[in-house]
Amino acid sequence: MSGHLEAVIGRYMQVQLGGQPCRVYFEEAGQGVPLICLHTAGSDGRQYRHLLRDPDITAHFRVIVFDMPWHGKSSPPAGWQDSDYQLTTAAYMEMVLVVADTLALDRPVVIGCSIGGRAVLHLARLHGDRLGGVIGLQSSGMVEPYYDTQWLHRGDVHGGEVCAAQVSGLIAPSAPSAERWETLWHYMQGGPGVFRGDLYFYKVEGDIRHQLAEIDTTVCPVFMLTGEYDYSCTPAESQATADAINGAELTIMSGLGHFPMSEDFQRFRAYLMPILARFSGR
Amino acid sequence: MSLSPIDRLSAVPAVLNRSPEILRKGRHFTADMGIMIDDAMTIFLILNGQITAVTPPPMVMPSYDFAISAAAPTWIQFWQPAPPPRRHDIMGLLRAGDMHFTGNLQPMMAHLFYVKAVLELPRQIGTEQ
Repeated sequence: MSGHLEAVIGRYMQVQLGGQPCRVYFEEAGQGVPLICLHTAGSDGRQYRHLLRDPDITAHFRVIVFDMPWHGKSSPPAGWQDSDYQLTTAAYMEMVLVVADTLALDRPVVIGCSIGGRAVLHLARLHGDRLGGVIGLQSSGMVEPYYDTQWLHRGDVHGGEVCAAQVSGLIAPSAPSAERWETLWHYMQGGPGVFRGDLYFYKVEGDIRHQLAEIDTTVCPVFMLTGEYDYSCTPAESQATADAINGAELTIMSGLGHFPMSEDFQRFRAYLMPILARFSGR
Repeated sequence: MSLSPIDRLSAVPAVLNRSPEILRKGRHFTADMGIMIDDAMTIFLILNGQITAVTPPPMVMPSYDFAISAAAPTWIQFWQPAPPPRRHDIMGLLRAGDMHFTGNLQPMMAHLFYVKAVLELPRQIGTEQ
């Protein structure tokens, strides 16, 4: 018996990031409004596997998911072995814009989760006129460190095991088992120190709390969705963030945690589709 | 039947022995793990994932590798069959400031799936009034 091919296509692009050549892997499906998807810290684009395969979405959106350098199938730049990886706001902004320009996207909508949910706020503030809008999942202006991230990258603790175990509780208890464990598998496959390096942006460098009021939602609409089981980006933190952005719309999602698009897509979909309809005009 | 939090901890080894998936996760885990409920510590002596002894309070000279501490209401809430959002995981309670980890945390962090699973077993044991 033969299998069948999905409509999702994976390709690489050659780009310059931080002045260095990088080979960035991305997947895409669908036609219509470009929709760039940003994965969470320490994971990769597989988190959007359901969104890429939803015909009600791909009928109206060109869904594009890239693995950030150091993640998934996008290798780190040459020389990576001699330094610790640390994600910065500038590097994050550059990679999203370079991906959009390389694919010649016209005012893409950007959806991002966790660090991606933070990144879309920076994008809306700095580059809102180049975007159709942003959707922040588990989006906050800042998350204060609440555990010692050194545990995520040590010789005497297995990085894949500890990264996955650290985030396991961020998934809602009601999430289907297969989706929970696939979400954790992505974390188990992260490179050494990569999750920790992403958290530098999330918990140290990428604080946008004091610039949130500069976001103009008449130029770049801001939608936010936050799962109630998330104790990393709590509903209260998302609410405080939304309150600081004039015109931002936040919905708290019941029965979902920190990885809504990956942990329980069917439940998440009910919250996402009305927002996507605002962008597709349907 | 209702059990006190300390009685529920004493019943954990029997439940763990019926949980091969947890024992598998802990097969390389050996440590003395303290669980502090208010000011009362219970110690699990764990060898290759098996709890070989439970030492209930009071103890004159408790000796352990690391300890997980919280007030009784926090543990009782955490051990509900379906805890409220953000009260359902030890890292969430750590973030809320209602749980503390002390001692040499290397064994715990190296076997965090196992430690989390063991600490959640009282959800299957009795109920608190």
